[in-house]
Amino acid sequence: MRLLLTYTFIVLSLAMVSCEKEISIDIPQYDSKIVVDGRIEQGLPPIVFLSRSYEFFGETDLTQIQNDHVSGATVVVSNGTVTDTLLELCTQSLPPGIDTLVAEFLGVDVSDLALFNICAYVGTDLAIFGEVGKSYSLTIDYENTQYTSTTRIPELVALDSVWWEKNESGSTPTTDYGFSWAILSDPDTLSNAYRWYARRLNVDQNGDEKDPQFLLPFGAQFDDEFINNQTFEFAYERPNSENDGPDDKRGYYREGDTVVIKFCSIEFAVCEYLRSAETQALNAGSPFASPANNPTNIEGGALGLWAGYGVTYDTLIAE
Amino acid sequence: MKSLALILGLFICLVSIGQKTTLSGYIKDKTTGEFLFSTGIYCVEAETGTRANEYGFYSLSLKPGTYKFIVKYPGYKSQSFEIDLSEDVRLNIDLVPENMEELVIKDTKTDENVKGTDMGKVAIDIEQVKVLPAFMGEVDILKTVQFLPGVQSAGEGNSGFYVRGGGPDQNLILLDEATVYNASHLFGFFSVFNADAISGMEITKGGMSANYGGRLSSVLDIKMKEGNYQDFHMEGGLGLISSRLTLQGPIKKDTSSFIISARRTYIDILIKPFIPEDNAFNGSGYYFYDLNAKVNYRFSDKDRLYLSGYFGNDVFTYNNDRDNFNVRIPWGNATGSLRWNHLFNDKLFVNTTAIYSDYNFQFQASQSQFEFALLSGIRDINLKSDFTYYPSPRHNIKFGYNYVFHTFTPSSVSARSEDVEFFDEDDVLRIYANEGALYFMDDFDVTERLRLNLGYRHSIFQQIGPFTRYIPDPTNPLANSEVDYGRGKTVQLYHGPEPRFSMRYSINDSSSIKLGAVHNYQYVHLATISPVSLPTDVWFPSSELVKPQINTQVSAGYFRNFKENTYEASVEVYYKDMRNLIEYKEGAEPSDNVNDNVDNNLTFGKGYSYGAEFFIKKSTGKLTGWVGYTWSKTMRQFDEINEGREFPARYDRRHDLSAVASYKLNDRWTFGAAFVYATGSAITLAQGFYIYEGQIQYEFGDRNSLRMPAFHRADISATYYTNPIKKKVDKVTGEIVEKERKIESNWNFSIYNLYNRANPYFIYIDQDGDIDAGTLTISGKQVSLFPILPSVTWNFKF
Repeated sequence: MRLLLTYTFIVLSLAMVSCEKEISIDIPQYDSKIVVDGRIEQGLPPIVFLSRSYEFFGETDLTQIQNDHVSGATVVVSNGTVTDTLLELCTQSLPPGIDTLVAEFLGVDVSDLALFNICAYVGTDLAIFGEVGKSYSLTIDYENTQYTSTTRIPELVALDSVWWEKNESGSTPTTDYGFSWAILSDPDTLSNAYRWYARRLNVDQNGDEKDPQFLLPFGAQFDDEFINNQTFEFAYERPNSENDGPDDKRGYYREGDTVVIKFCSIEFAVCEYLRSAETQALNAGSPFASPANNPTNIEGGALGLWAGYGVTYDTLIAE
Repeated sequence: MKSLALILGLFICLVSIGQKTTLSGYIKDKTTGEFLFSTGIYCVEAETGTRANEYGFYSLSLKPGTYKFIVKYPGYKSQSFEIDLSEDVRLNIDLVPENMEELVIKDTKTDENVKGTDMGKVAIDIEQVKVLPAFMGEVDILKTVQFLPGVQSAGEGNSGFYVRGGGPDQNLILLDEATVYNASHLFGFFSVFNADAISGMEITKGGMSANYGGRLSSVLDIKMKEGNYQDFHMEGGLGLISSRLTLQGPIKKDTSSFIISARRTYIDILIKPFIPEDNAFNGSGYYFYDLNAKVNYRFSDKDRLYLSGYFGNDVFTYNNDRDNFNVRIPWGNATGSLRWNHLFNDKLFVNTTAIYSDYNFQFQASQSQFEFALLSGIRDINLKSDFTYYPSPRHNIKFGYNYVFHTFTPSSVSARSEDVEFFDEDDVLRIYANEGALYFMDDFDVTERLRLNLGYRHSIFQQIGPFTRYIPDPTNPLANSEVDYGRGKTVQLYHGPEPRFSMRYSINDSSSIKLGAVHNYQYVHLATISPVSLPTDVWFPSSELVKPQINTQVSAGYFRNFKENTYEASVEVYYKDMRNLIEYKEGAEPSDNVNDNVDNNLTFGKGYSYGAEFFIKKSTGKLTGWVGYTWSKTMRQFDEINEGREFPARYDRRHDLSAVASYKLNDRWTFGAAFVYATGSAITLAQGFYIYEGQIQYEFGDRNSLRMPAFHRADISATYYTNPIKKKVDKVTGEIVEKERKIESNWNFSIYNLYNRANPYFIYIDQDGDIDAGTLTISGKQVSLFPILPSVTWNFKF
């Protein structure tokens, strides 16, 4: 609230008198860092994307950044008994099965994968595929530096139920549209954390999928600080999709939508990182936002996250 | 307490006892009847002197005999007289201004710079401030203060200031002894002090004496005019954004006087006709006003009563009829002081003051049937007595007490939708506290060359109930608990010793060395989110979590006057250690106060600052002004910020240079100029970025590790005084006769930011376009506030 007031004040007062110009700031030599985007789900191989961070005010080529890949690293994942050196694979030459996973991960269509030349390190040994309740260590060796991390696939916590509810009350009542609702029974262990993905299976009039992949709504991750050991109801808005048509009301599922909910148990540290990353993406450099770095779980000076997901799926039909 | 008694005893021993007679009285301006403080009175035969206290009272005790005295006050004709002191004599002295028309550059005693024990103390003359360039034509004493070495501006056009690496809440701002909690209007662009109502001000940056307490870094003591005891006068001014009017005069000649001064901005009224009535924003606007008033009554030579008050408000309104959305944000201060001066005898003077001070901020919003209000503020009721005792010419003793009852409203919300109350006015969370202090100090000559000022202050702070402490459980949120304190119950008690020391050693008549040390406590705090001082900032007390801020400062200086006190120069160095400083936790978004305490969002750390200040000032002649330069370093260390590593404070400025000059060309024209250069503020910016899950993420560097571009600006002004004499042809004789004009007036032309420098106000990162579409651009943007701004003000007096 106070922050909102602060915003209001500054914006209102500056609107009248201020002027703006682009500047470059003298930043004392920026050292690019390795960025880790690694994940492991139960029943799936570990995938690790390696990219780099870039100097803010340096010359940057966006296409290059988007397709950035750090090649030639040695990436090893171990569950304590099995140790696997991940294979470096690129989108143009992905084995079947892995391609869909990668497409989903990147938020692109499988068919578009070839357009990008995206590469990742992928586990190929079945024995290293994710198992619930196990911890996985990650070791990356690149240019004489070692980066390490550990994550765990937490015990599955399935939603008790999911449903769609018309938005008949409230400030703008509608009968055709509503939010997704769920009941969750949080276990009596602290620091449980969750992440919610959703994907509509419907297609539009052109036959295109409305949601080509699983999408994240606003505030997709939460922990049990206030809900430990409680059974409670909660709602999520529909995540925005690029393929939204005129009939799709922002934030709402329409009557007739079929939605797959991917509900994940995550570690608390993973939740904190994801929450921070979401805030940063929303703030987009606002001068009033607190200048805090995302709390990485990677040791050794890299950025990013190594995350285990315990996934359960539910299907919701809006009717 | 033991130590206090010990010091008291020590002083009493030092005070020499012997058969003495006393000369005492008040020193006044003959034309207005107002008392002149800090006037010097010197006894030729005894080669000793004293100066009047802040209420114009002086006292000098000597062996019986006949003596010659000289009374000197800059801008006034010196007086000398001979008096037989075979018995005690009461003598009120009226000084005559040297030249009424001439610009009077008042100052402390001309050689006070080298003779006094005060360190880091500067008095500023209001008349001089008035001829300096003024931002948008508004004469602002706080902006002039910022031109002094060791004092830094909080930002472009901002009245907020930082002293020697201390925070903005560490400045004690007093208006007729009442604490002013928010000294600025409109986001800090203007101060609340209307220069027409102010008679003088003094800032102490370093070793503040024991009669001041409650803030770590500085004391800005502002005195309101008393009002003319002889004649009625009206003065005022018309400016671009505001107008002022002051009325003063006697209620009963020589006995009672009054002054009332008002100021109001009128942007809202001026633009009103240009907003069509059907415009959705019709009814939106902003204005502020202040009102200063004072009445005085002299019952006798022994008793005087003053009643003074300040009342000021900012009101911001925003109406959007289309969406039926209305916002009203009023905030402001109110202070009142009732002072009683009493003279027990020739040597003992007491001033007792009862003070009320209130700062209030409100945010009221409504949309359709939904209403929301937020309230925060602080209210003080204060009683204090300050005694001045002159046992001998060598000693000047002060002692007294101070008691304050604080009522804090850190921030409370009330909300209502039609008839449903979500939060009630009665639920407004208030925090109560008692603050008190006792002090004793002696300013005395040990030898001809050595003068000491020893002081001791003991302060105490007690937070009392009713109060509810919310205790978050770090491991089990369900185990969050509350502790309730009943009415009057002690929640937390703090107290601390505050020794003060300063000394002056005269090398010769024109140079001296001074040393100072101060240890002090601050029990009330301001948590700021944004780098600019906003009315949304919240004052709150020390509590179980928030310990009092503690400061230890040592300073040393070399003072020298040149050319018979025409030039005053000084070099001061200081080191300051601060404990229990406050910041919001990293990533904290201070949210509603419902079911939580403000201090649960805070984190605590320490800091230090050191620096050197160079100052040269010319106070007489056609050209007057000063140049100040400060080199300083200010660091902070918080366990929970920047991974515990030390970082520069936001207002760490390595170099800070300011120059101020006014030049009196002739009786018609006076010119003014000011220049300031400061190292850019320390900021934290993203230094790198990366992509995670398709989104741009920032990598921030160390806290405050980057610098904004340097701040520099020049302002100029010219003041034209209309000829006070008008020539007229006498119709009868045909001769040209000269006649005095009834109205004196002047025009002040100012240009702010002469060379149109775009100084950074803040810097942010602008992210445009869409990363998936490949249209994303990232750039650093600097927002600057004020371009070159000319202004004109017309001032009149009759």
